[in-house]
Amino acid sequence: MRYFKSLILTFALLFSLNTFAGSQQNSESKFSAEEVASFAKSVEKYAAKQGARAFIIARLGQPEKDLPRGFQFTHTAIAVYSQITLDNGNKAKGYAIYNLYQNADNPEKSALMTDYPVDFFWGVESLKAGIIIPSPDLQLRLIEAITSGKNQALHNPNYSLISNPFNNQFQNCTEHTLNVINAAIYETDDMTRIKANTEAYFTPQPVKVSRFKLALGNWFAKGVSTEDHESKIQTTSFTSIGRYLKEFGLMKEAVVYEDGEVSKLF
Amino acid sequence: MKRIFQLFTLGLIALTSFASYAESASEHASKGSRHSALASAHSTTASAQVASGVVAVPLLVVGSTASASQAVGESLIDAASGKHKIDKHKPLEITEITITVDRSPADQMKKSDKKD
Repeated sequence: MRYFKSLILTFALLFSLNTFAGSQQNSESKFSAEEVASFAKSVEKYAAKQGARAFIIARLGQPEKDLPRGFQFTHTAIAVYSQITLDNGNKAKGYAIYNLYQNADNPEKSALMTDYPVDFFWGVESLKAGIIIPSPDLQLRLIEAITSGKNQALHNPNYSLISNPFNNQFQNCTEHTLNVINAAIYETDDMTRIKANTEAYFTPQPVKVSRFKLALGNWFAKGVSTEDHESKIQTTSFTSIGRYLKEFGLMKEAVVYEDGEVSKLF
Repeated sequence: MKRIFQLFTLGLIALTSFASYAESASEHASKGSRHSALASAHSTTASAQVASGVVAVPLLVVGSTASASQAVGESLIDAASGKHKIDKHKPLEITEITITVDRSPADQMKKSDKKD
């Protein structure tokens, strides 16, 4: 009986850790195609109404109640206002989204992918978006960082869900976004300089998950590692990026967009 | 008995770890169905369309820097400073077309077959 209880406990812990999965590309949609398309378009229109040429975008891919304390979203990327050439040769204006996605068939690795708002929100848990609009000057530098390929130069394909933003041993979607932001701010793709400045100025989000659970994840869950951390486990979150930009006067606004209404992120 | 339980537990843990990622493993197959789902949803509404995005080029920054040369120039250059700037109050135009990533190779082949 005692072993049976242990078995159930182990299952519960593993499932709860694995629900905090972030950067996987969405596959199945909980909402109808029309609902997702309509929501994605409304997010685009909101950002466009604010005149955002580039902004930080986030989605909620898992039930909010399952996220560790301090985390509001599960996947973060950079949206850039673009001229998009369609398959029929026509051109249209909208946002393209620059993502780091965890590989589905190899969770310890990631790839960079550009997609569009309806792809980004496909399969979300809630029709809810995080939007951080940087200052106009930083928007411009973000676009320059992406057009010059700094996002690709900074990509480390070794993935960990709880990667430490102070070193480059692993990367997840949100840390990659932070790296691109710092590359834009300092106009460099020198990872050593980016990490030194991250450590000097950025306050990460502590991960409030028990040591036992983290140890289980470390041993058994692919794409979760504590190897890059010292005693304290902390990682990059969408909200911590917002606080960082606000602290240094590089943010225009940070909001949560849901049901056609916006509320402050913090 | 204890050893059997331990082995059983470890085996199930391993399976659980794999199972938790099984959902996203179908992502490549789903891209085609996503496009189809959007297309059929939009066929019921007269105004909206769905299309695949082939390439996206940032709409900003008329040229002086090398890095900006890949962007499409439409934004403002400050006449006084000669530097690029963003009109922070100007709303941007957004297409009504729902743009999605291009079809999977399998879906594209099916689409091509229908044309023949």
